[in-house]
Amino acid sequence: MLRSPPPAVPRRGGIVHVPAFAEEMNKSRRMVALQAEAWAADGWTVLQIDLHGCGDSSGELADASWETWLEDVRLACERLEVLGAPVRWLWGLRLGGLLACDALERFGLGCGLLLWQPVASGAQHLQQFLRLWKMGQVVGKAAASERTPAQLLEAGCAAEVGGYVMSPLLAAGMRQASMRAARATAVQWFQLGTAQAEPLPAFVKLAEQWRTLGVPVRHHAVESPTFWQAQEIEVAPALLRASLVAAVEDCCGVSA
Amino acid sequence: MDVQKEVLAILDDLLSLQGRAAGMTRDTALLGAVPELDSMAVVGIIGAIEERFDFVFDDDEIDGQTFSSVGALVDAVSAKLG
Repeated sequence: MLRSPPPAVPRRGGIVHVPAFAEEMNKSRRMVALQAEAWAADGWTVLQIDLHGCGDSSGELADASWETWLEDVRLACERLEVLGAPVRWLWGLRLGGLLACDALERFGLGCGLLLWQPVASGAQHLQQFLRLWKMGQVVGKAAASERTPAQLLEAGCAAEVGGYVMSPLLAAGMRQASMRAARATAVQWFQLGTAQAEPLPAFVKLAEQWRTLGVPVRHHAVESPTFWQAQEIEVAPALLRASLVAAVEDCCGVSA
Repeated sequence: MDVQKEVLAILDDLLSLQGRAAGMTRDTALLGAVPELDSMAVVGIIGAIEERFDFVFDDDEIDGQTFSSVGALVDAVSAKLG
């Protein structure tokens, strides 16, 4: 889904949205759409991608892998380049943040990372996702199964969890993915919850690595409900405002 | 640190209770009593607790009992904190 600025507004460049995984993506649709609209009105060309097997993409999730997803990100950047809106920010939500980071490093994408509550450990995220199966049993709604999803994936079989089919390749890629600092033009990290929260340990460690590489890093603690997981569809006006400002900053608090 | 207060805040946030969790006590029943608490919500709550307190629950540390009441959940968290 591509959103372009209205005719009279000066162009600022491109933003690629790398989405969250599975139900987190579903629940965050509204908030992501609101942000994309706000940015487009402000002069950004925003491209939301459907990763292979997700959303409206043509592929099946059972055929997806971390590699195909990395390629999806790269292709999105290429597309915006061709459209005359070179990517200035990879905007990753949750697992999308980890994927964005990985893609930036793999392909030397030379842009910034704007991360909303990013997942730093693919292994931890996969473990949390696979829990859906066990909790389905605990809550008593799922049918009993002979093998756990972890066992199926280990055996090279696809496993169905919470309505999503997880491919062994995707699981393996996700399990190995871990956020590493690479040369980005800048990193804007949004920690969502309360405005007074201390930076999480995962951020502190990565920020140190980024700074060693000379990458400007900015941490934002923003008041926001856990909209990618909450039962009701929620939005976070504070996050919309903060992201709008952050995208035009050069990380030293100076507006471009 | 008030573990119960933190856990109730997480419940309120993820279950979209709009402040109703503040009125819950240790004896408040969860699984089966709170309609918003489905398997997806349980997973989300466990994840949020893990991130908030910076520990990891092993798969065998969570069962139906853990989510039977507010008290049971708070006790499970306190046990991990040592």
